[in-house]
Amino acid sequence: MSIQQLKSSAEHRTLDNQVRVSTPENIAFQYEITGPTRRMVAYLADVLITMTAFIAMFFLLILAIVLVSSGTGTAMGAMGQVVAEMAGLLILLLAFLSLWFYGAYMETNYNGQTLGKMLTNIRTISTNGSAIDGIQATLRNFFRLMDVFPVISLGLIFGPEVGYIPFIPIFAFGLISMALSPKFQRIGDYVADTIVVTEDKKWVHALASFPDPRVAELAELLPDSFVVPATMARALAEFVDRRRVLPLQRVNEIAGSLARPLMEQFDLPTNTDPDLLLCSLYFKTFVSKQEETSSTSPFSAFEKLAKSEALNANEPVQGGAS
Amino acid sequence: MKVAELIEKRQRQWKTLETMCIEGSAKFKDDPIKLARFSELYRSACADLALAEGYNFPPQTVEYLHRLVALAHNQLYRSSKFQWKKWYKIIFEDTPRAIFNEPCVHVCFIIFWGLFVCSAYLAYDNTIWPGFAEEIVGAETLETFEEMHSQGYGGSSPTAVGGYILNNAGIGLTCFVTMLFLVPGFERLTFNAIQLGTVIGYLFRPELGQTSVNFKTFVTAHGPLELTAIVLSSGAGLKIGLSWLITNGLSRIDSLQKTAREALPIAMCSVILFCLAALVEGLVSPAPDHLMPWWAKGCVSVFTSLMLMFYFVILGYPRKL
Repeated sequence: MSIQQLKSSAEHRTLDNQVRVSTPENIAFQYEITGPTRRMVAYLADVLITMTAFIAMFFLLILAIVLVSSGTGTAMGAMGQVVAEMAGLLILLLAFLSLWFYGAYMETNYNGQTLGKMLTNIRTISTNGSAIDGIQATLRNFFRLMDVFPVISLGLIFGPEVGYIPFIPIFAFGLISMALSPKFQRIGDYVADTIVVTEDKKWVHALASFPDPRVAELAELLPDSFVVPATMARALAEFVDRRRVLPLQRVNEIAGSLARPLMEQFDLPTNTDPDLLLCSLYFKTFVSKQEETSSTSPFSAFEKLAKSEALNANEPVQGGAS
Repeated sequence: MKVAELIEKRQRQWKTLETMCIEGSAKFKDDPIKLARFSELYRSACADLALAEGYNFPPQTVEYLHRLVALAHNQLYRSSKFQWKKWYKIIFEDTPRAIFNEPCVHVCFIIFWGLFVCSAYLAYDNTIWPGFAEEIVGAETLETFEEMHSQGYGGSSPTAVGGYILNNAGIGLTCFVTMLFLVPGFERLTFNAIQLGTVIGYLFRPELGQTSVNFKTFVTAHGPLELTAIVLSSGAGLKIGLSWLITNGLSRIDSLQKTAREALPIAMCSVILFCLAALVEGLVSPAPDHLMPWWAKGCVSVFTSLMLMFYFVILGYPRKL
């Protein structure tokens, strides 16, 4: 593989917890794939919510039965019996629906989210990035049954006196499936062709500010002809973002590997603080750098875009919004 | 222009888009002006992302734009709502034809009914294999069933309908899902066929007297619906279970996903049959003789069987397009 190919593959490679999706607007963006822990929290939240609703309904049923027993032999008692029967039907139907169709209903109607997923900011989508449909939602929730296996009977742990029917789900199939999948897909996800992504609503980090006047002073000394390459710009931004939480010795050690060749290139004294040099370069690149205003400027397209917002508003929407 | 200034300039729009995303599409989907504004902001954010990636904006900004575009994308392209026309076609045109032509359903039909009839005969006859019923189901279980049906029934009960749906449809869906790995699915299918056949054969024995008569009147009405539903759910499951073994040129995953979409309507059809069976089992089957004699329950059974034949054969018969 040539160096060019290596560079190209490195540029297009994403982290293993991210998936890249192309939209009808011809733009590719990344989703962060959700891991098992967060999904388990969402699932437990869903179980808790449905169980609470179920228990509340169960107490209503008990209330209805009390009504029946208090009025046996009277017209009120006959009505109470009907109420109790209908309450019984309702609660058992709800139990069935919540057990098998809660996830399917919620994910179809709330765009890939159940209540637990809303709480944990995660969403189910198709592996191609589009919204899931009813069939996918139903399939992935039906096949959750396979993910909970194997189950362990309580009777095997505490002896036959507790009975063999109560089971503890181990979720081993689901966890193994997720561990083997590059997209953390459980069995239901494989069957329905879906993934679960995180939708954290984080606001953008502001650009770093440097109260130390030496940063701006050194930035002035850096040659204007030096163009920071793309990979170096990323490295600089990552470095400045993380240097605040690293010990000084480590900061200088990391900065040194990039700063030393730059010192030689810029003819700076060898005792220049490497951390200061990288901060100055960041300052010059992102904060103080004056871009050319000609059409050859890399930001000229950006500026044109800002000016053409009114035009954008009149353009027809691509694709089918629903 | 400074990068910092550019980001600040665009940030106001990003913030507006983010707020609209957090509020949710319900706030703007019925307002054309807001929807147009959202689309405009979304397209702008897409363009910003492309440029930010191309012109080396700080990674935090690029990462933020990825999240923002993903968030907006999910608000704009939402899952489609329930469509009656589409489901009418699936239920009354596509599914019966799929069932009629589905070899997996035919295989499950033969396995289930073959084992069911054999078990029922062996349990009823008790001479070819003496003690067959006791060996298969257990004497205690048989006694429980005998006791349950010896005193007649408490009349129609809507609560029982709910119980039957919860239990029986749950069993059917378990058959469907566990067929993914074939062995547990076949275990469920054969277990249900042998157990149901044995219990029914045992309770039909003439020496049980009134218990046998009671049981006969109880089981007649809902039997066809319930037993057909088990065959359907297993057949749909078998179709999925075989799809990742016999792929017909597709990759295993593609074959599994394609077949799962085809099999789901069959499984849903079985759920509907289980629900209908539960309605009959809870309301018609336990009705006392003076309200609904055995012949009336027999008529319900014949009617449901004819409806099933109509659905699977008349609606399901292949048509030339």
